[in-house]
Amino acid sequence: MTGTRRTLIRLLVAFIFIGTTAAFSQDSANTLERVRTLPLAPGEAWSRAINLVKASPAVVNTIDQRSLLLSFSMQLSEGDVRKYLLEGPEVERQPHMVHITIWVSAAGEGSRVFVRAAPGAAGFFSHSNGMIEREIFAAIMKGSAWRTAAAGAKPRRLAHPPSHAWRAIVDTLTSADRLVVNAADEQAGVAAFSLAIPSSAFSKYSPAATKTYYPGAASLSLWIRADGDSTVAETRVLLHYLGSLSPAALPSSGKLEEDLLAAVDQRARGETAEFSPGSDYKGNREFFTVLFRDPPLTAAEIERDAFRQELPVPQESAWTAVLRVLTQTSVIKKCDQAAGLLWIVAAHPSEAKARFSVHELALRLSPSQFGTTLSIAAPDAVDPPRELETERKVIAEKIGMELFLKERLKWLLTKREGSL
Amino acid sequence: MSKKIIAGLTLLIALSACGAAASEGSVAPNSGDVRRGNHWDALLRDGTPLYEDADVVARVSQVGQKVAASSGNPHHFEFRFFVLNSVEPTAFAAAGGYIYVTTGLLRALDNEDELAAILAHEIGHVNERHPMKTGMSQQARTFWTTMLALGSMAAAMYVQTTVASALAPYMTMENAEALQKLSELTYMVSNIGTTAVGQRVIISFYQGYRDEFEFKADELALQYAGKAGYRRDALAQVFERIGSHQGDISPLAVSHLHSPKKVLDSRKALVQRAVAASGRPR
Repeated sequence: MTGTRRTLIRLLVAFIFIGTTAAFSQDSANTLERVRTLPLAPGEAWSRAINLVKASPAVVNTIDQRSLLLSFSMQLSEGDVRKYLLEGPEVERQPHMVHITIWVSAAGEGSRVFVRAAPGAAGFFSHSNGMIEREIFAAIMKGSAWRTAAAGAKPRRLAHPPSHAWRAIVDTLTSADRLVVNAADEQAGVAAFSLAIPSSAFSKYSPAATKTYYPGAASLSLWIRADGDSTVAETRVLLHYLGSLSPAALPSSGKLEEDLLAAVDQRARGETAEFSPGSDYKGNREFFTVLFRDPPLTAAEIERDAFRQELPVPQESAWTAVLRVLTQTSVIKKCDQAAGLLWIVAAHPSEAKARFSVHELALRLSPSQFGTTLSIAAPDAVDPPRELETERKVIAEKIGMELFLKERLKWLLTKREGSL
Repeated sequence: MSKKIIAGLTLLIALSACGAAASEGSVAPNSGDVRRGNHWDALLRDGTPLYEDADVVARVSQVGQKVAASSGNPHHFEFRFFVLNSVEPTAFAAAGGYIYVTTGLLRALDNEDELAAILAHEIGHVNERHPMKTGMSQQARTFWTTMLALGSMAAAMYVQTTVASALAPYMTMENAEALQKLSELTYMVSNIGTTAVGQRVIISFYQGYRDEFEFKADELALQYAGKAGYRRDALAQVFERIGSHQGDISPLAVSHLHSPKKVLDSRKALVQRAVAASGRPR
């Protein structure tokens, strides 16, 4: 067989494979439902949502008590990928994570609960078939867990009351350099942070980290609750290689968790303690680095080069519009309504050299003489200037639609004679 | 090996022929149409947020359900109406009864008759199962494009071999390299030429297929909107105002209001003639 014929046959086989895959991959038995009104008070629905995340093998990305919004990430197993993803059969062998946002708001006497699951691997996003959302609604309604952490993740006891332990946790994390604190919420009892780990030390934290040329990344959530005069601490950790194209979650040796709790315990006893396992390694700009590793832009950084839009409405209304638009299509990195700040991870095809752009995009709402100023910035984006301008303008337009469209639809909302 | 290839090809041809089979018979609820619609809906909504104002969505849905009822709903689909938050003024349908209008479209409309006309057009697409047929035709198009690529390669190899044989008697040590390059150039030119012509033919064929769907949906829209008590001439007004706007909210927009200008003018003329011939705008 000549080389040309062999190539021809290979091409043919590849085309047949692609063709048949495409033919069978466009069905879903599930309808997608992201919003459900539940007969629960918002406080109750929120509390159940927090408990659901606490029980799951997930790390918290952000938690905002004022907006009643939280987002978290977790690894999906091969079976999960098959069950929960539209593209399940095609990508089940690819390590996947899922990033989930839950947002609770008042709806009459009940709650409007919004859930969005955004699954993805390192190089691409896949799509939820709606089952994750449905299972989470059901779990919140029942007040039960959705997924439970592995049996090995045992709670540990700190011999200090929760308020004391909490101060020690905050001290430990704020004094540790080279880590990014993603969430610290005393009311929910959770602190979450991310860090990069030097390649030489990564195997200490994960026995499966055998590729010594890759640095590692860790995201850890520490949950605490009162138990008499002492505090029970539970940890959830997500370890993976930085820079790998398939960052599968690696098992933890338990050392990172032990080091953290030892430092917290020492600080709670009034001793000095170091917790600095991180490195300064930034890694390439890919989804996981932007989500976990890049410190969120500050208000000053946002304002330095922002796209601005005046919105003649109170800040509270503008905030709701911002969340309604962005929670549906974006992975939420951090949310802080008190400061009027929302950070998302934007990932899209681009005219940039790499043909794809992943970057943090931050929105800020601030009071103005007309109502509210919306500022949108993405200073680290590699997008060409015009593309970035369009990206920010489109977001502002959608927020504007959310706020002002109804005023333009009198013809629809005022019933005419003989109309429905 | 060759048997496997033939089996694979047969399978693909069978799949590409499914488009014809999809046009016949009634469709059970939760059929392939609904499953396909579920899939597209999930993909679409990951890229474009829904506009969820309860009053607006309820009114769009009321108008849509009234028109759907007047359509007879031959396949017993459960029609679902969504408003997408996008400035792009467009509407489209996915298989199984999923119908979308954008906030940009609502903003551009003037009255309920125009909305009803647009929804009637999209309901027409669903009832005729155009989204399913378009999906199938896309598979067929992929298949024929693949065949074209392989055919072009084979044809180019044949031309190259023929040219090489014709030149063989003139080959000397001095001109061997030049003749080799000439032979490679022959291959390249033949391959590119055949592919370009073939692709033009395929694109024209499938664009025609798509235009036919739009004409049919317009025809049905006039019937459905009229039966539901809306002005039948509203569709022409919509074409006038927003139809010339080009653009797509999504590559999944399997059927929508926009056509190339020439086709749009024909659609507008046909709608106007049909309304005039019936002698009643309602």
